[in-house]
Amino acid sequence: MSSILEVEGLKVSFGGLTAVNGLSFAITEGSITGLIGPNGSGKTTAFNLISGVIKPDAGRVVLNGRNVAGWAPHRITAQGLARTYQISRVFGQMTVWENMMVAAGRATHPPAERARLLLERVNLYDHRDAMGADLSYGQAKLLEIVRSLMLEPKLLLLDEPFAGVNPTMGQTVLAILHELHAEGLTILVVDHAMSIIMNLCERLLVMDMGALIADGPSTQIQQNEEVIEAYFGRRGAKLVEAAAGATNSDGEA
Amino acid sequence: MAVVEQPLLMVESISAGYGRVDVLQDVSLHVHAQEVVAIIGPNGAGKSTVLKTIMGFLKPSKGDVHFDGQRITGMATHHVVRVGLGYVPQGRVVFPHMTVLENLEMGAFTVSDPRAVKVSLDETFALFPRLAERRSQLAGTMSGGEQQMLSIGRSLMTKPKMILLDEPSLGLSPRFVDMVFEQILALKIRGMAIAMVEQNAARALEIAHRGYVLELGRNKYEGEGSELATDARVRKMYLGG
Amino acid sequence: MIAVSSLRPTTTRGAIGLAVGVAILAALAVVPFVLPSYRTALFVLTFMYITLASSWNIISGYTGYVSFGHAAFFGLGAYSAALLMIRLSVHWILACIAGGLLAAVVAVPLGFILLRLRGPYFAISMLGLSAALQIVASSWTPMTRGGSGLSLPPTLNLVESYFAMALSMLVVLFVSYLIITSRYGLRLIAIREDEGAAESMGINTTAHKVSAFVISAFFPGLVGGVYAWYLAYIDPTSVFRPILSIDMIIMSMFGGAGTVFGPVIGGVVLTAIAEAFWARLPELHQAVFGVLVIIIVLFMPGGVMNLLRTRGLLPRNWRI
Repeated sequence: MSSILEVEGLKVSFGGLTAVNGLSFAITEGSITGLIGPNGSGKTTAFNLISGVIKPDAGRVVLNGRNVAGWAPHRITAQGLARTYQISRVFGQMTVWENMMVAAGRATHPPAERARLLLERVNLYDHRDAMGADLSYGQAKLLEIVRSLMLEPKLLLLDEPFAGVNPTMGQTVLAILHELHAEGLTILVVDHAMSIIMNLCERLLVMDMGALIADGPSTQIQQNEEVIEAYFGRRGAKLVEAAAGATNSDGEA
Repeated sequence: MAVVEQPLLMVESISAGYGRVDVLQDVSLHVHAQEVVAIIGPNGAGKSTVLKTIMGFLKPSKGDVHFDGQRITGMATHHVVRVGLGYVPQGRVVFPHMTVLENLEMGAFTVSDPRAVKVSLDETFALFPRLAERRSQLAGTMSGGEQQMLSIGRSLMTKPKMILLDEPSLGLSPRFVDMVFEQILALKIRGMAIAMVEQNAARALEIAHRGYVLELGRNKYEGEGSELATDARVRKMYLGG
Repeated sequence: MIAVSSLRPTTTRGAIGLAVGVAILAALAVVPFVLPSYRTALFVLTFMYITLASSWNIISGYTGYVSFGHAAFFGLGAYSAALLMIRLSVHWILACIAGGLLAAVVAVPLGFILLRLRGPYFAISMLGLSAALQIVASSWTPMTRGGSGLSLPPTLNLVESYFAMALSMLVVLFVSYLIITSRYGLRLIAIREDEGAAESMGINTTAHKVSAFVISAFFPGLVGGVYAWYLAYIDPTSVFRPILSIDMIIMSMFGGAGTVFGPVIGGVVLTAIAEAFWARLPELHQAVFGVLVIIIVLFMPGGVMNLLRTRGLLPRNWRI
């Protein structure tokens, strides 16, 4: 199995803050991987670096053998990468159908046929004339996913597909992702819905403070002390003594 | 802790959310005077939503909030502040183009008596000497930890009986996380009642008397800070365990 | 440009539209021969404004990059065509086309530079451009005769000007129609809606914006030349004045920016209003325009066409 994506030493800083600090990992073709980590660990920034929204200060992003680090987003998309956003960026003043059409490039199948099939999979074909702005939160998420599939990507980056989505809709999203994985699409997902991600992904990459702190099968990650600590937090050494000494910690006045 | 008196803050079975979906379902908690309570839980637990509902940014669809004996459910935020609650929002919200002093004065906006404002200022400076040192510095040029200090200081200007802290250590480097928890400790020593939503559960539970653990918008666990900190179930929860 | 089938009107609607269109065109074709010169001149002016508003619409209505200085291209075309006619005795039709082409060519590097700027900055930069060109026209006396303006050999050209303006208008409207019913146009709308998302979807937003900008520059340049030939006189103020840029915006917005007929409605209504007031109270028409802007912003953002959409008289995604 070859690596469809290889990230090497990726680094970016904003002002004084290093958001991503020497990130390196490889994604095997056809795999479904989760990228997790506490808030502020740099996950979305990593996505933005890979998809070209931000330019890295250092490092390489090798997609299908080409280093696309620093390329404009539309060129990276042309290389076979598609992504969705935490808050769905569906085009509000276009219909569902038009949203699909605008993504269709020089596709192999007739775009109308492909769009119809994709929309039917997520029960949006009947809503094809609805304006993007009128879709519900969950519908917009689904539309964004199938719209990205119009690009016929080889690698799909999903940014929090389960965020704010009710359980029923979550099941629909999960089902689609399972299907896509079975069809051979390589998927990299960022999300906080731990139980879902653990089940969905064969492998988890864990980020903290801009770098990778763990990489392995989900069951292993769940037991990993360092990962638990990254999420739960680390105790402050001197604070423990100060707290014990200075306060009546059981409240007696 | 002598717990005979009514809690200062009582949140009773509130359900609240943004739009049609309720993020919180039936959440209850209480905080006594001089008590530090931590509200922790994995992402999506609705922790910040609890504070926003107490402060009146959101109206709960069910349930009640009482503060200092008064029913404040659904009260407008500026009234909630007048009743004695201070709020330190997420993300170190300071006015970057104003000085430390001006930021603090803005915090006292609802206080009409200038002498009271002066007293509050002096007290805040006494509590946070670093702010006194930098009173003429533009807030936007301060470090993350100092900005959080300023944000907390500003909430103190209305002389609240209790402070709500929303993720005080979020996005800060370890050094500044230390600084912020020292600030919270200083408040604790002064006897301020605090309800703190924190991502860094370990630190929060270390400093708190009691804690509430929320999961997916509901109460999950409750207990003494030290108990929860070492409870394996709580730790595992964060990774879907 | 590949058509998105759902955007081109269905056969029955299309047939009716075509019939109405042909009738209108036939009527317009006889106007200069049946109406007095004064009225025909009003049509000439209306066609010109519709062309300008429609051109503005191609960049600003479709991509959302609001230009506050499109008069720059009008003036550029006017001066280039005028100079070609005066100095090199170029035939007026060729001179006007050359004026349009020059404006389009200038728009290429300009587009690459200016379209990087975010909303308000792009708007202001275009305003600055037209102001700068006005100053150039005023100062470069050896070439442009500065404030005295350029006089062309007068010709009795009402009928030809009428048809030249009408043709320009029909062409720009047709181009607008082709754009907005094609996938290229859909991509322009995508840029307007969310440029970042459009980029992520593989759309080369720079290429799209610049091409739309160039198209939007050609037609003002073209009618600038016709205007110069028609009046046989231009000066910096008459072709670069800011109010001209503003008029284009108000017309397009009143009728409905982002649609093909919006600028037509706006052009007709506002020229009629201006004409109604001009005779009696010359300055008042500007006050009326001001009031109109307030009405548009408060009660009908999106203009007349959008009003029709929200009332259900037109489909929600109707852009024609």
